[in-house]
Amino acid sequence: MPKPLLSARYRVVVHDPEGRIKYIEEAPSKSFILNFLYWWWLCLELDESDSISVVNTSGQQTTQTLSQPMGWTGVWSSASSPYSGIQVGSGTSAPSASSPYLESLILSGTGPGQLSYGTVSVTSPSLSSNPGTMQISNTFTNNSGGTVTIGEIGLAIQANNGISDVHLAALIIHDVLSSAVNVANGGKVTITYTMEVNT
Amino acid sequence: MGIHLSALVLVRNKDGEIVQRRKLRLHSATYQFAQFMYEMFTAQVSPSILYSPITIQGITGKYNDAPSAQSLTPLTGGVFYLIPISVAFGANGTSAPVNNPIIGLGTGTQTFSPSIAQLASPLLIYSAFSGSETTPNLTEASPPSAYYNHSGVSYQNFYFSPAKYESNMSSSVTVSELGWYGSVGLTSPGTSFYALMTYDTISPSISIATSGTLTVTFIVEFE
Repeated sequence: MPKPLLSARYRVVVHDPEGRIKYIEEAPSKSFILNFLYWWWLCLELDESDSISVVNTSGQQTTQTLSQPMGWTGVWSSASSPYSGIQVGSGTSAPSASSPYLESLILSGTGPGQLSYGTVSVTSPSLSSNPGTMQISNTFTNNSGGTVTIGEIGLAIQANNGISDVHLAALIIHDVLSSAVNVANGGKVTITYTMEVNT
Repeated sequence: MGIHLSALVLVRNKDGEIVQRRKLRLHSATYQFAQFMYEMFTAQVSPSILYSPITIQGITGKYNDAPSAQSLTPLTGGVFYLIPISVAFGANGTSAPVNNPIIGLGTGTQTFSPSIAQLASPLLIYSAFSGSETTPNLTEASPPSAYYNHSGVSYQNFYFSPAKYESNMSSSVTVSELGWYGSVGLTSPGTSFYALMTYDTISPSISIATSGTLTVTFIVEFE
């Protein structure tokens, strides 16, 4: 079976409040979901009459329409828009390709059960070996006052229409960890998705 | 697990009978494809992520021109388009070569390297047959659509609209390489070019008899 043109891996590193590594998990990403094709399709076509509905998972789930022309797209996040880029959740159910959100998104904040979302970073592509890679990473800090458990992670793109200026976070990859992992109060977890382009 | 790109190839003889049907897995992405994916993940209006201009091997002129280095500079406050299958065909009814095909067909072979930016021997594709070409070529009997087939979006895949090519040569035309060309454009400063995203040799090669046709459909699917 030839390698896919595009694949992904994830790495989860949990630190305790003293900065010591408590847990590492690295595995191939199993679930590109339907939103990925929607996103690609919109990026690859030019018909300004075309549009598609995606679920915006910016803290709550709302259906929004993306249409051509796509103004910009990316995986960055910011304090005002923390849910694009990498998302974390507490669900443990197997992802469904047609389900466009995490089972149970962990909200950004310092309340019970919440994690403070950091800012996404993206490395420049490395093409010196096969596969070519680029890494998308974010760190989540637990200032909730208690332990927060992560069972699922995902990668969400942010996009807008060139005309209507829609901003959203649409999940394109969804993975369930091999086992749920605890992040202690004061600890943090760094999640990295490595996109692999097979050449 | 990941995203696959395939090409469904259908060869018919002059009577319209199918003589060959193959599904080719396109598994050789170029640097241009990797750069394109990076841009899809990072293009933005107000960069909070610092990144540098990207140099990509692109073609700004005719389809069979040699590629040259093209620079993509991220914009701040501008609109950044990356449109890998934008198409701009030669005018219908003329014998001008198609300038900017999605699907590149060639008669040569070359060892794959991710730095490949052009087919070894691009087969000229004309928008209409003039009756005077002597070098091997194909006529674009039915061009690929500039748009995706919306109804093709399904659970597992979506499609490029099929493109149909006809051979008007007096002898058969052999196709031995296949590439996916993408168009990359910035609305400002108005830069656009196209670049080879995938390259695959076809073995055994495909022979299209006189007045026969070749139909190619690209399929994007995930597992």
